[in-house]
Amino acid sequence: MDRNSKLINFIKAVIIIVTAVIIVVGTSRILLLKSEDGINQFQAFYKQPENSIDVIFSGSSKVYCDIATGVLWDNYGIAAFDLGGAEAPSWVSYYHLKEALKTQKPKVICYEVSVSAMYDMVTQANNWASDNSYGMKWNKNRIDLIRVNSEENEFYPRLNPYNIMHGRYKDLEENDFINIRDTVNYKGFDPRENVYAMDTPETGGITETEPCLEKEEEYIGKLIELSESENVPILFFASPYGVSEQEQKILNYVGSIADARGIEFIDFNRRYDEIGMDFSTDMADTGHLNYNGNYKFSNYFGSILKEKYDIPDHRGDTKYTSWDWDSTLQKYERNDLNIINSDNAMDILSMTQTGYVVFAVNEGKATVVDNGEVVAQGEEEFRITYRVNGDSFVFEERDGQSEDDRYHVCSLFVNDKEYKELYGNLLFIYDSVRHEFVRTINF
Amino acid sequence: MSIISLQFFILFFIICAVFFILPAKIQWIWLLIVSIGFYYSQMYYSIAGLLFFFLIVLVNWAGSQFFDDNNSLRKIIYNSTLIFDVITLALFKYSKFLYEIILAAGKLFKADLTNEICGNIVYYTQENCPERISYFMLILIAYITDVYWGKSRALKNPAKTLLFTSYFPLMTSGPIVTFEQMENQLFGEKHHFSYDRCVRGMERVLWGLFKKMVISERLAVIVSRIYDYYEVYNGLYIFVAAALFAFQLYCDFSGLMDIVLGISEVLGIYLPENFNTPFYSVNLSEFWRRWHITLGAFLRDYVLYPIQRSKGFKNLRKWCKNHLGKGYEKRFNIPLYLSLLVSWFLIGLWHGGGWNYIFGVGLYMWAVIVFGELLTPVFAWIVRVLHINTECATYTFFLRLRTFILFMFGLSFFRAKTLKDGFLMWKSAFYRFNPWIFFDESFFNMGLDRREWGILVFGMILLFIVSYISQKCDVRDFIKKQNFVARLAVFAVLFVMIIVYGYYGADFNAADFIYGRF
Repeated sequence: MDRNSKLINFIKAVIIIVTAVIIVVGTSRILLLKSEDGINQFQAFYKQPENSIDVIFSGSSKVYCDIATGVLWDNYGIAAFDLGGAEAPSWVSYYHLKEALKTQKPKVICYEVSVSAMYDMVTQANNWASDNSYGMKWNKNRIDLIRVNSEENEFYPRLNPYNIMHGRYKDLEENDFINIRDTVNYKGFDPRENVYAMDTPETGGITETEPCLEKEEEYIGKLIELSESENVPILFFASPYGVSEQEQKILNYVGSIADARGIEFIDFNRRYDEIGMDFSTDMADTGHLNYNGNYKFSNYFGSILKEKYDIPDHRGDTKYTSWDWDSTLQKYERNDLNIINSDNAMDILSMTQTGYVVFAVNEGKATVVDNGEVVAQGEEEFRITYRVNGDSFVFEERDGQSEDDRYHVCSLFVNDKEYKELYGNLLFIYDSVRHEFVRTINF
Repeated sequence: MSIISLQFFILFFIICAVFFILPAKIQWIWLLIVSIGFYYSQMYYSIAGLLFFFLIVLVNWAGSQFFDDNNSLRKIIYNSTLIFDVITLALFKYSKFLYEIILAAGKLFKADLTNEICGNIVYYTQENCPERISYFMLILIAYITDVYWGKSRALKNPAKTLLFTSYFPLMTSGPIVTFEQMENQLFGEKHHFSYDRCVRGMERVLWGLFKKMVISERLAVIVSRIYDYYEVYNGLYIFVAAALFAFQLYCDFSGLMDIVLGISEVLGIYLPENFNTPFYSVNLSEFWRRWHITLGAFLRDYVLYPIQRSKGFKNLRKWCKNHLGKGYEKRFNIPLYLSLLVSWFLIGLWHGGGWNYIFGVGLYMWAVIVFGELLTPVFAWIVRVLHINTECATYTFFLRLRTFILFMFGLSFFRAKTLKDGFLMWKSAFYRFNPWIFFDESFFNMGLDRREWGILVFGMILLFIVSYISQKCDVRDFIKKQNFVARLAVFAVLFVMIIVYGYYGADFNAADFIYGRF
């Protein structure tokens, strides 16, 4: 074989290998679990500018459900990030923080300790192994985390994420092919919407202790060592939740560990009144706060952080516009919830003056209102098309076209999705900031 | 370690890199080390199991040293070695089956033949059966027989005998090779890296992975559902399951062979083909010449022909000539049918110690072939009387379909748990006539949804296209003639299909290779 042929074969071999790599990288990006329980948080974390975060919240799902980064920003100018993982025990948080501190130098790390008190969650930690590790980049921390979080026979299969995620071809959707807009801006926050009414826990008087699992304690120690070696103060805290007596004893034990190591520990289960907690309206389930709860808690927590640590107020700083955007999105989501929970069309209209497109039919007359301004109108058998912020709409009145759809309807197409109602006096509400359809209402 | 695991392919890359760097003289030593390591992993890291395997090879190597013509003991030593091999194979593979037959026979005469020692032997051999014993014992038997017959030379070096027996691609499910096929390739020539050969080999590996992971495993979902619950999935479901199982087994076994032959080709060592588009056969004899070819060749060369050449059969042929007259071979060839009966019985038995195997892929196949032979004049008469055109594509299609149906029926017993289950299943096939299952979406509620069926149908269509092209030419030659971009596209499509649509990992219960258990 002459030199030329060898060179051509070499180039062909390189092209084949590069193609294989492109396929692996490309498909893994598409197939990557888009989980709000750890993966999206880490993916978003990597997109934060270096040394821009002042407070990293670490721990379990309580972190990303309970700490409203938008509230911390709006009320105190704190640039915070919720780097939690579902039911993440201390060894998961240890590797999360080890990875996080490679690019960020926060003023304080706030570590949520409640999982230590929940035996079921700690012992089943590997149920969430993929969510808690696949968001991380391929490096030693990721491998070490998978190792420490897996049984011996699970380690190698988990190293290859394809073993878990290739089956997702059945569930692929738009978000898998584009960047995740919301999470990037939500700074890890993933709020819960529902309301779960429960009795206020009465564990305030419990002072006894009960040890947590040894492995949990070992990694709590490592977390403290990590904060010392990186010279970043760490604050332990327990979010308010439906804590049981036994869990309260373990929380006390974790508090005693923190005490012994000179680390501050705040158990917010002893501060319900200061926070203003109302367990009949503020919980999403027994373990997580909802919108009402996380607002109160984050506001209260923010004041403590401001008081205890020297955290700058970045509001107005042009390098921190993404936190502005984050808080805006959170405000709109709260507003959307209020719209959904309202029964009054006039109230709804007052809540949709900015950032919403409203499609209305009143007495046979159709109107499209964008940001409070009428942008299009139509009458009988109307068909209105409208485009704004990358979204396309078709709003029309029509007769049903099939046996299953034979009534006179009013229909709104938002991009490729159709929402329809029986013809009458109607409102269709679209949140053009979050790009979410909110609801329809007959009036 | 599974041959379709990521770990294996990473290791294989390293194996190749070292292999091509080494000088010719020691390349085989590297292959030996790798092969022993691979077999050790196949034996679940049992040192005792590995040592026992060494002992079997050592006995055969030692025996082969005494087969030269000048040795007066050569026949005794050959027979002793052969008996050792056959007993070893029988002990580990068929002791349970034999013990059950003895117990059942005892019951017929109301005698309890249960024996604790025998029971313990059965238990021990079942628990400690060396992996792939059905393959390497046949390779060894073929080897010592070839040496005894003078067709091959005896290897002086026991380590080389060990490599020939345990060459790692073979330690999955064959093919069953002869020393003649392997000698030069393993011990003679220097193997250099070749881009073309490497690409061709990997193309074949990808195609094998596609057949196994994309097609076979999906078919397995439907087949298992029907076979496991044939009492409720009755009527036409049974016919569907039997047909799909034939394709499942084909994709599973031939897929594995593609992987095995492909990785060996990358190393520059060509193994004999085990499949040649069998579903295009027009009769069952031809089918079996194109399905598991090396097993058929082994039985032909080392069982059928020796039987036919034996004294007893010579006498039988004489008897037939005297009593049935000249030309009896064309009318009723008893010696041929008897020798085939032995071969087919052994084929059935090789597949497993169970009457379902002996019947389904043994005696039933024999019966169809022999009756087909006997009825040839009747078929010819029908063709003549009805003026059937036998020179058209539809007639060929009919013959192929008939062959497939005959094969599928026998093979259905292979998949059944027992012979009784096999018959009960076919009884259930005639319990009711339920053609609506092809219209009411029943097949979408059996573990594969529409999307999964879509992938399966796409895979099957691709399989038929590739099989059709391979009738005319070598598919990889065909691909090679295309432009590099087209070749790259074929690679990319297969690669994406495998990593995305393949059955592996946490959410899929991918099974081992069916033929891997022998």
